[in-house]
Amino acid sequence: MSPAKRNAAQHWDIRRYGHDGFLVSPSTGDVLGALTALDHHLKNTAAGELSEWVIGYDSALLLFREPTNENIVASLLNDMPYVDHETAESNIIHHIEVSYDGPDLEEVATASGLDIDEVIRRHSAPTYRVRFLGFAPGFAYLDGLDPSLHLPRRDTPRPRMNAGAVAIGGTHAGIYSVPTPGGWNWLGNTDHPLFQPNTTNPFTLAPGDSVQFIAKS
Amino acid sequence: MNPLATVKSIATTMTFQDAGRHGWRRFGIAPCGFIDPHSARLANRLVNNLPDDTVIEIGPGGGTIVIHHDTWIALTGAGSVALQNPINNFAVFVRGGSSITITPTANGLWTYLAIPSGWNAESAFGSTSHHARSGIGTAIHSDSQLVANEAAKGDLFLGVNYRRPTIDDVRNFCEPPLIRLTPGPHLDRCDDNILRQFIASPWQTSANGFDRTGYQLNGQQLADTKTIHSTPVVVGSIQLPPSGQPIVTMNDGPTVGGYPVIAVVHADDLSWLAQTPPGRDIYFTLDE
Repeated sequence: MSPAKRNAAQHWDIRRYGHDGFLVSPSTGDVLGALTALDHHLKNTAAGELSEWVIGYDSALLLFREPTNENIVASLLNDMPYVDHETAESNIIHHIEVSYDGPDLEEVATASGLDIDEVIRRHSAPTYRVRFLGFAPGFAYLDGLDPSLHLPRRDTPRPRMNAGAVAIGGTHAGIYSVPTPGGWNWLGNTDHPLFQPNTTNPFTLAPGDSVQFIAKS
Repeated sequence: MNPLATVKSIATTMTFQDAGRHGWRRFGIAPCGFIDPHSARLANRLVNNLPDDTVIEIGPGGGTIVIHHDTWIALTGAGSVALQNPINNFAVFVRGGSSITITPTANGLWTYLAIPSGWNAESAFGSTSHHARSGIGTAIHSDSQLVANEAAKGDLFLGVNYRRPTIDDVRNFCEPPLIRLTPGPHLDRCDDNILRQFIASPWQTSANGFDRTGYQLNGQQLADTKTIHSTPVVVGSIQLPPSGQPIVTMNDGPTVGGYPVIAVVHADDLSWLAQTPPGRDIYFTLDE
């Protein structure tokens, strides 16, 4: 492989995280692209020394079978073949029907200074991108929320958000995949299954997928 | 299948557990598994099982199970059972029809019940550990019928009807050692002295703030911090929320968190922390 085909320009910040783990963060350039490339690379290689990895918003956790050192982690990242971001992106678009009947719709309208119809329009307009999964099985953090809907989480989390609760929190949109306590603002509901543990494809959404909400009339 | 036992009552929680599931965190699935692996594996060893065979983990307050057929059982960890005398950390041959009531002791929080060949429970994502939040694995509730993986063997230990572990294997959770920590990845987001401050004074498990997802610690007020972008957490991550009261992520906890991680509890010491009841002092030490 020629040097030009490596991610040579990408610098990673590497920090020890527990006795068998490291937290790595792209410290320059295209953070999302670098994490997408890392995820793609790890999915397509049998990295023997690595037991597990988890992608976060701007970092990734690498867990090793045996305690290792920073140099090994650095060479793993530097030797990673170049992955074109477009190759790593999926071309899957999920069209998800939403009944905008959530309990926080009015509060969100008030807080954002919009009327309810406009909140619905701005929430269902963008094509979102799955940034990473986490928190609960199949729960996707979606990038692409309209800035006018960037609102803080609720002061007191609800003890239960239903599976299928369509919600927004901070800069992200999301859909609760299983019933859990949750602090996001609840805008609506969908029947679109997100976590089906007893099937061959338990997780509907994957990093890199696109999501389009469709307001149910 | 012919049940070996029936659950009569549960004070707080009763779950099937094994060593947990691995490789699924990037999909949002918690690792789960024994919260006190030391005690769980001891229970398995006492009935000649493999270390990670499925056991029943009984939460604070205990519970009652009726055994229908003659079998060996092993009980380790926090709870005790009144047979002739209250005993814990043992294996014993019990007759069908026996009622086993696990009662809490001052020794800890979690109790393990093992039987030869392990308990039969549904495996999901490579583990029989039940995870309530994900709705995976077999749940145990009052009246649940419990099945063994193989028919119980009465002659497991010929001519013996009682076994104890060696004294070295029995932990006194009333006297936990210093819990070892490694520095966390977000110390640059916190006050310079935060780790020195953290290890300088005792902490206690919050009376209403602990379960299999996490342990909130009460103690000195630490300098407040800012939230961060969602970052992967590991079992043993000590997160510092704006309240200044740290939270230790445990086996059933979320896979990502939004608070700076100031330290990580050494994996071998987590079971000591897990078994420490509210009100008892815990001290940490830096293991760099």
